[in-house]
Amino acid sequence: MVSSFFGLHLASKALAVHQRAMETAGHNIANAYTKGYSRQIVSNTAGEPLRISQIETGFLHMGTGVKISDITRARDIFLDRQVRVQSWVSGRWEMKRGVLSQIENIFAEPSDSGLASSISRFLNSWHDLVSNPESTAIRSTVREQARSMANAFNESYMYMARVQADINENIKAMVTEANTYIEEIAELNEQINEATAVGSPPNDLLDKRDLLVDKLSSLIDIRVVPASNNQVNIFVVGRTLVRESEATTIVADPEPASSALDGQARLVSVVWSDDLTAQVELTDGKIKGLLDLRDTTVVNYAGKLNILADALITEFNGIHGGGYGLNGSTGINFFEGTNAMDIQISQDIIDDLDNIAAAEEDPTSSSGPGDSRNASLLAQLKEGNTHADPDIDGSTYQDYFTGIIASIGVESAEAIRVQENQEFLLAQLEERRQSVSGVSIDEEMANMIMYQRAYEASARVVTIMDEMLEIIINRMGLAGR
Amino acid sequence: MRVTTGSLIANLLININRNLERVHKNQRKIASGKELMKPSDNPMAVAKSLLFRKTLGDVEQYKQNTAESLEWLKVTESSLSSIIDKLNIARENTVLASNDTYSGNDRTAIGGDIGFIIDELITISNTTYAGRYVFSGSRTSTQPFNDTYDPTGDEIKSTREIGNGINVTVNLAATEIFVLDKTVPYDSGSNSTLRMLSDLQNVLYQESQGSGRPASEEISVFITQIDTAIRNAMDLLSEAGTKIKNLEGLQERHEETIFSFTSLLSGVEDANVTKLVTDLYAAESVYEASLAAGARIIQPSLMDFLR
Repeated sequence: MVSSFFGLHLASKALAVHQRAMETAGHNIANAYTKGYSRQIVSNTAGEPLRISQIETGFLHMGTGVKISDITRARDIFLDRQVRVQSWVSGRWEMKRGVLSQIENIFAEPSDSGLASSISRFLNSWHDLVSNPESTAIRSTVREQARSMANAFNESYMYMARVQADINENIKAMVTEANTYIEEIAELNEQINEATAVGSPPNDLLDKRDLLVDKLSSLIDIRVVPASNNQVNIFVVGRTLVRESEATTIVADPEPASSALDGQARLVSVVWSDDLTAQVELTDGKIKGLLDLRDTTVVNYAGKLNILADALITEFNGIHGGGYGLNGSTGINFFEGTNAMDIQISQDIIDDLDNIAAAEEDPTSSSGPGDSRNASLLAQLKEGNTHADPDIDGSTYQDYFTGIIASIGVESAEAIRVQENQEFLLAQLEERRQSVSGVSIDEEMANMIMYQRAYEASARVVTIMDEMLEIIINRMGLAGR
Repeated sequence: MRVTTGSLIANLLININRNLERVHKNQRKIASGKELMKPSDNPMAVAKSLLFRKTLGDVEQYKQNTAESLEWLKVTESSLSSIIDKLNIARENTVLASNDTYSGNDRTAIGGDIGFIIDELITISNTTYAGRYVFSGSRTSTQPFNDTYDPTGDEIKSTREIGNGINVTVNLAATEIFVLDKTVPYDSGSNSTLRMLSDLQNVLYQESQGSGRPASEEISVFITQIDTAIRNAMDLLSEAGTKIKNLEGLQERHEETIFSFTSLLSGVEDANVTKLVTDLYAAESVYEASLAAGARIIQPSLMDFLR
C-alpha cells in the first residue's frame, strides 16, 4: 500500500531536483568566463522503485520520481596532458623570443649609429691619418673615433650584462611563482582528499587545482600522475614536487657564486629546498629557457663581442707599439683593456695626440713628421683576416661583426617563428579543451528552459495531487447533503 | 565539434589581434621608411645591408684618399713641368753661351740667368701643399735643401690606399728630381743638378772674373748634363701623369660603385612605399572584415530569441 501523500512527496522531490539543476545552470553561466572552469553537469536518475503488491499481477514496481545521482565536470584529462606539454615548450620559446629581441635592440642594426658604423669609422679614420700624419686635427679625429668605438663596445657589453642580470631576476621571480603554485596545489590536494572521502568530487576545487597545474607546467616541465581521491602527484625528472598534500619547494640559490658578465650580479642556480646541493633537473619550460638564455645565449654573444674587442686591442697595439709618435715616442699602446667591457684608449693617447704612432721611424731623428708608414699598416688592419682567436680568424673585423648580427637575426627570427607556431598549437588545444569544458550560453539557456518547464510541470503535479486529496478530504462522505 | 561562447571569443580576439598586428607592421614600415627594423625581420637582408654599408664606407674612404692623392700628384706634376721649363731655358742659354762668338760679358749675363734659374728651381722644390713641403719626403716641415744643396729632407715615401689593396705612392723627393746619375745616391757635391748648374754658372763667370776664357767644350759639356736632368724630370713627369690618369679613372669608378651600392642598400633597407601602402589597405580591410564578422558572431545568443 502506498501512502496517500506519496504523490505530493514525489512531486516536491522533483521540484527540488529541477531547482538544483537550474542552480547548476546558473553556476555554469556565472562562471562562463572563469579561467580554468569546467562546466558542471547534473546527472539525474530515477528513484528506487517501490514494490507494490497486487493480487492479480503479483508485485508491481512503481516509480518514485527523480534524484540527483551526480554533479560532474566536463573534462578531458588527455587534453589536459597535451596542453601541459605544449605549455612548457611554448613557455621556453616565449622567453627565448623576448630575450633575443632585447639583444637585437641592443645592437640596433642596421643603422648609421650602431657599433658596426663606429667600427667602420674608426678603421677608416686611419686612412685620413695616412694622408695627414702631421695634422693635430686628424689625430684628434682618430682618437675620437676610437673613443666612440670603445664606448659603443662598453655600452653594448653592459647592456648584454644587464639583460643577463634581468634574466637572473626573472628566474628568481619565477621560482617564487612556481613555489606558490606547488604549495597551493598541495593544499588543494588535501581539501580535495577530504571532500572526496565524504562524498562526490569537489568540482570547483579540482578546476582550481588543475588551473594551478597548468600554470606550473608553463614554468617547469612537470609530469602529473593521478593519486587517490582525485589528488595528483607532480614530478620533475627523478624527484617529487607534490606528493598528495606534501610539497617540496625549489630554491633560487645564489651559492655557489658564479661569475656574471658585469662581475656583480649573483647568478642563481635552481636547487631543491631540502637538498641545496641537488640541482633541479629541468629540461623545458620558462625557467629552463631563461637558464639557457642566461648561461648560453647571452654569454655567447657577449663572448663574441669580447673576441672582436680583444682582436682590435691586441692587433692595433701590436702595430702601434712598433711605430713612432710625432714626438719620437715608441712602444706605446693605443688601446687599454682586454675585452669589450674594458676597452678604452690608453692614457698615453689621451694625454698627447703626438703619441699616436703614424711613423715607422723616429720622426724627430731618422724620418720626418710626414712619415705615415705605420699609419698605413694600421689602416691595412681593416682588411686583415689573420687573428689569434680561431673564432674570428679568417674574417675581417667588420665581417665578423656582420656574422654576429646575422646569427642574432637568424636565432631571433627562428624564435619568433617557433613561438608563433607553438602559440597557435596551444590555442588550438585550448579550443579543443574549451569545446569539452567550456560553457556554452546557448546550451545553458536551452537547459534552463527545459529545467523551467520541468519545474513548472512538477508544480502542476503538486496542484493536481492537492486537488485529488481535496476530493478525499473535503468532499467524500457528503452524499445527499 | 562543440563550439562555446568562450572559444568563439578567444578565437575572434586571436584573429583580430593577428590582423591588427599586420596593419601595425605595415604602418611602422611606412612611417620609418625602412624595410628592415631589426635583424630578425630578414637576417640575410640585414647581413647584406651591413656588407653594403661596409663597402660604401670603404669606397667613400677610397674616394677621399684618391682625391687627396690626386691633389698631391697634381702639385708634383705642375712643379715638374715648371722644372722642365726652367731646365730647357738653361739648356738654350748654355747652347748660346757655348757659342764662340759670345763675349765674356755675354756669358756673365747668361751666368746671371743660370743663377736665377737655380733660385727658381730651389723655389719650386720648396713648393708646399696644405702647409707641407711636398718634396721633402717625410720631413714635411723642412725645406728639401739647405744653402749648399745638401738634402735636409729624406726619400721616405708616402702611400695611400686608393682601392681595395691598391696603393699609390704620392710623393717624390727633391733629391730624386735633382739627382743626375740615378744609379748612385744624390750628392750635393758631385751628383746634383743644382750643383751642376752652379758649376756652369762659375764657368760662365770665369772670363769676366779674369780667370781666362773657357774653351767652348768646357761649356758644351754641361749641355749633355742638362739633357740628362731634363730626361730625368721628364721620366718623373710622365710617371706622375700616368698615375694621375689612372687615379682619375679610379675616381670615376669609385663614383659608380658608390652609386650602385647606394641603390643596392636602398633596395635592401628602404621600404617600398607603393607596395606597403597597397599591403596596408589589404591588411586594413581584412582587419575591418574580422571586426565586422566578430560583431555579428558574438552578439546574438539563444537569449535574443526566447521570450
